[in-house]
Amino acid sequence: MGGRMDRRAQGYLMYFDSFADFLQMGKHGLYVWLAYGSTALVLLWTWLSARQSLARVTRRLQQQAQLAARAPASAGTKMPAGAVSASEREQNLARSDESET
Amino acid sequence: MLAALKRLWHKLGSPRWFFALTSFWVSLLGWAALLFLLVGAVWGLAFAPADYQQGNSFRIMYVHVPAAMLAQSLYIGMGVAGFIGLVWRMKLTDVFIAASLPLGMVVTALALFSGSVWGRPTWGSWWEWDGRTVSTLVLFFLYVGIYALREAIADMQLRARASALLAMVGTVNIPIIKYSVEWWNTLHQPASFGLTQKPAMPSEMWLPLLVMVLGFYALAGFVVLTRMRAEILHREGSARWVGEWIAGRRAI
Repeated sequence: MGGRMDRRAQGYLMYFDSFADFLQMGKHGLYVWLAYGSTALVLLWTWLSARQSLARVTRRLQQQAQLAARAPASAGTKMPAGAVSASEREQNLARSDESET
Repeated sequence: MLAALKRLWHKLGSPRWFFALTSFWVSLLGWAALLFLLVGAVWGLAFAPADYQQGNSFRIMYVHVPAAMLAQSLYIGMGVAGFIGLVWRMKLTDVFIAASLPLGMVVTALALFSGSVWGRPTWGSWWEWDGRTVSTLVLFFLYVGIYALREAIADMQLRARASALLAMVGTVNIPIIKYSVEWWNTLHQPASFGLTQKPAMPSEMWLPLLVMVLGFYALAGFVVLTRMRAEILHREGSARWVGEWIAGRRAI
């Protein structure tokens, strides 16, 4: 029921008549696209940076595992940059024992 | 019953268990976020009818409102995590705070920016010293403050305790943001959504908003869980289960 205008007002059809209309957004094109553009950039960044942080630590641990496999005797003395030190580990463990027992 | 609850509580505190549990959820949330955000954006931008007063600028609502809601929710989450961390000394709560901070900070900035861009055509100015904008600005500074605090403290336990405390104390700002539109004379429009009453908009306007809100929250779930997983690997690096997990993955 109803004509094209009714269906459009109810959101069933595309609101704009042409692509140029869509870009122009009445007289608010600048504001709408600025808001959506910045949102797209920010959300994309949050996605990529989260993925990257997981990939970075995975890669580091893989390299460490490779090093350890290659030279098991010296694994205790040489530590790759960024590795968690033994004392720091112990602190963590102590903390986890406290909360998990 | 009580014993089972207690066991669950201890399990929840175990990074290893958490890591195993989230591997499924993280990809589900990622795909859900992508779907909802794409559908919501197209719906809100092209299909929702223009507002009779604001014209097409009202479409900014579909990114502004979810960003502002998420900014506050993440902070509440950090406050609750801080409380649990301080009381029960659970390790994962600090992992959660560390993982939510960057997202909370940028999403608050996004809420402020999109609000400013919406304010220009609607209120006639980019910035108003209005109750809600100012309290949201305070929220942003709280996020920045916790971030700076964490950067400044090297000792892990002290860092966890200090940021938990600041996160907890800062939650007093949340009700201020919420009631700011009622307490002070304001330009800011009242809540678009409520749990108890029907929205003041017709469904063709608020349905896309609902989809966008779901998309933002799914994305937040994806981002926070992914960052928590990274942080757990970082902290538990030399545990045996981490070694096994690493060995089971192909090189990247």
